[in-house]
Amino acid sequence: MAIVYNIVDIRGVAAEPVIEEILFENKTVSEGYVTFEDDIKAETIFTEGSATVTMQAYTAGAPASSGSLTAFDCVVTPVKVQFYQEFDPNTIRFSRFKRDIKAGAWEILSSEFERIMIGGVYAKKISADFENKYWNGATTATKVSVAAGANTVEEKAQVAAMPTTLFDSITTRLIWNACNPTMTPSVGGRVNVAGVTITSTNIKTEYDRVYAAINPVVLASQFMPYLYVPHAHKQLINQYNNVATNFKDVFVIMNGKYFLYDLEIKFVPLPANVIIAAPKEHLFWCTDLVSDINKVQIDKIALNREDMFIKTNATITSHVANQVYNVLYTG
Amino acid sequence: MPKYKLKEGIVLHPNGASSLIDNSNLTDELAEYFLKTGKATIDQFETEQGGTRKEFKKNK
Repeated sequence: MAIVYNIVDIRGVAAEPVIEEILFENKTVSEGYVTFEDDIKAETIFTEGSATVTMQAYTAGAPASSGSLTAFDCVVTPVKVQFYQEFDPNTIRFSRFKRDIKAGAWEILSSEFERIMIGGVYAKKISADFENKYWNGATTATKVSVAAGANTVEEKAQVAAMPTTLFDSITTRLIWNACNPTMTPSVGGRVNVAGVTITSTNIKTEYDRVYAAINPVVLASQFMPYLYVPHAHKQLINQYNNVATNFKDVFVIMNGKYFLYDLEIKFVPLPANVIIAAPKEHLFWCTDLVSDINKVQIDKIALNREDMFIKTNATITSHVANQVYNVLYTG
Repeated sequence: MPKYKLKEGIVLHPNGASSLIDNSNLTDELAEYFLKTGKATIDQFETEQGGTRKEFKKNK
């Protein structure tokens, strides 16, 4: 059964807070770090367009046609996933949670247990799992394709070592995707920066290489890129800033937000030594309904049984747009 | 036949704890990259008949 609980019989008073596992809050969702494209059941089309123009000499007669108008479609279908486990609520009858189980042998559920363990720890863990897999993971099929493809060895190493997941993370999508005019899976159109292992000593140098690789037109556009970096970089940045001989803080920290030059840094569960520089408008979290990841169904397994199940259904996939304007650093 | 094979029980975590390389996803290209970048060491790879593989000696 799913509940593993080393219980102490309650004789006195239980300390009020149940000490929960510490998790990274899913800020990708709660603070909207990327673009959420919801209401996608299946096969939603993303269209990208571009044009070339040619100035030519005036003629009073028939002008020659020059330039191009180009567009292509990319079909995106989120993957349907599920979390499911069963448990016997009788396990908690001997625990602190018995205090708010209603009177009567038919009553088996504790509101405190539902609030803290299911609505709290369990639901947060599911949300964190979605976020982890959005940033870090690749399907078995994509791993095979990338290993045999024309990506850089740094990118191949990243994808090979990623957790095997049911959909491609945004990092993998930048490396390998079918969002091109022929819809043929191939090397992504990202600006590639070959990286190294990032430490508190070289972090400024390596971030500078990413910054320099950003197309200047992006920095001048209405959609300023973010620097998406692994959570562990917060420590490296603070350590770098604390080196007295640097004379000033290179990384500016204001109200808990971190900046390099004019770019805000977002800490997300990327693999180590990966940095993405892209406007959030280019990175999509595609789903049917964003709030699905927070919805947990809890019920009896069958009417003639007392054990219960917890289930979450959701759909998710990643999509990257305007690929040539996104920078991917892999080390 | 691949040039490089990890010793039994050895796995690599080249990009943090969530990353994993074992013999099922190791290629020669990746092995050489890990050795070159210090993400793996020669002694993590199998030796041939008690001696270090010839290819490793070349890399030294």
